Amino acid sequence: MPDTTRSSPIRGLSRRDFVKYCSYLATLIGMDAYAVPEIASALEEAAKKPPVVWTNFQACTGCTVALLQSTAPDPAVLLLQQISLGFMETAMAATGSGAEKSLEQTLEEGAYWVGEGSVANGMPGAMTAGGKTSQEIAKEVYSKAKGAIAIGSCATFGNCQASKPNPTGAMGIGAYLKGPGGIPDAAVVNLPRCPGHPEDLVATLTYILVNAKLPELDAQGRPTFLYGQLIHDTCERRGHFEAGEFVESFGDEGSAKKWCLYKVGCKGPVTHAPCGINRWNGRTSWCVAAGGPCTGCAEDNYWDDFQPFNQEVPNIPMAGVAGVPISTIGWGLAGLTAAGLGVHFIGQAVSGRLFKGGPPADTGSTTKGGEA
Amino acid sequence: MAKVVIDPFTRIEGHLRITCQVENGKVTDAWNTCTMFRGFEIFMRDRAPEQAWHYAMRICGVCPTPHGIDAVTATEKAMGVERVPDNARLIRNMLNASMTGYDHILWFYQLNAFDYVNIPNALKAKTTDPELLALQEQLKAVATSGQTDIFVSNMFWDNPG
Repeated sequence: MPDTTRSSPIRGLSRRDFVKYCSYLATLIGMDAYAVPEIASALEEAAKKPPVVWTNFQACTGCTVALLQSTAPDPAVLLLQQISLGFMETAMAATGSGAEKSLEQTLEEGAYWVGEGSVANGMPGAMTAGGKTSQEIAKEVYSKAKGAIAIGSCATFGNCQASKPNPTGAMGIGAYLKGPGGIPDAAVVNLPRCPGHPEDLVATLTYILVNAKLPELDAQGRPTFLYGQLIHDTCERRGHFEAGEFVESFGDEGSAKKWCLYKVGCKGPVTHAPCGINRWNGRTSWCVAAGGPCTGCAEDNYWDDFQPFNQEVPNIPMAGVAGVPISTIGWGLAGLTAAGLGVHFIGQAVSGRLFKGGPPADTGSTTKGGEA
Repeated sequence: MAKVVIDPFTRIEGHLRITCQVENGKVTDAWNTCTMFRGFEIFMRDRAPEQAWHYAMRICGVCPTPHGIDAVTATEKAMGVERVPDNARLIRNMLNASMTGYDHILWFYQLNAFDYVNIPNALKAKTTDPELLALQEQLKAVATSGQTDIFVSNMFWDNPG
């Protein structure tokens, strides 16, 4: 038997379950229990479900798949009851001219725009749909939409296709729109991570619906209520970091005991994301819980700045932490993080924690898959 | 002779444009165009080989695992690794098997089924199953809301072919 409490429609839910769902949403958007009635009335009083269009540019469709596989909210509740999704290339029945008509109609209904994938700004022919380039579609959809949300690392920062030498000139939607020839005052909410987390999207949409404004954003356009904390701060292995218990190489005793992954390349100390809180697969697990060091996928330019993914954080070129140019205020934040970390690690080294059990092992050879 | 263009071609990973040449109601020739390029072959150059799978998995978000495992296998071959540890082999097989299971469901029900199943027809279905009735109610609300929806709007239902 399927879990009927989870797949019940919002409007058909018992009052108790509906209020439960609203408190869940309140937690997501960082509001306290007093906000629950406010959220409930915002959802109930919405005369019609908020229309949403979801476009795909240069992307792998992973964010779409993540949404379709989300367990909380159940996609059936989300797609049939909470939002009115009018256009989503990967999941829509219509195709060709019918699909284009759906996009147009939904935008006329006052849709929010969720963008997946990067804009091919250096090679317009590298991304077209319906004969239009990603630049044309981005400007057109942005100007007609009620609000814009970029989901996933491609749409926010360009992701791997924007790493050196960036052959197609790929860039995030917000960065493209604010750039030359775009829309200077464009406001795009960035929800990075690879893939983008469905809870981030639901939380942001609910926030906009309840508060009738965009959430507070950090220097990189990410909502602070979701991206205000480092992975390091909410990490379930943090206790082992404090205790100086580190995995030295994959498969060692520390791995089995789920110790801190810092020495095998975890980028949690410089990555802002709520992975430790809302996890993946119905909050079952996430990279670090599975023994995989964080690659920093929620930060700008992590492919170039954070590689190799299996080596320690101090190898990151600090001047370009998170790809933020030195001239911007963002550097202040990144710099503070780096400085904070420096002090943190000096403290650790002095107290002998970092080098417990001898100097750091050479971890570079442990992921090559061969037998020693 | 007429030409029919289908673009965007939906329910696939990525982007596609199909051009058909039609004569007397029959397709006599057809061309497909991939309308999205990212350049994996270019930006994966000069990276550490053991990092390749991180990139390869981003080729396709519908089927990331085989891309990742194949990148690992290719890297191992290039490095002359003849045998991987048994646990590695087992984990890879489990990943591939679970991937096949989930991917088949996604591919068939979400990407393919709309070509064979007329969704709005479900409104006429006669059933007593309470769950199906609840689903029918939801679908009815969607279909009669006047809002554009991915499940019911603008599809060429019931292909005569």
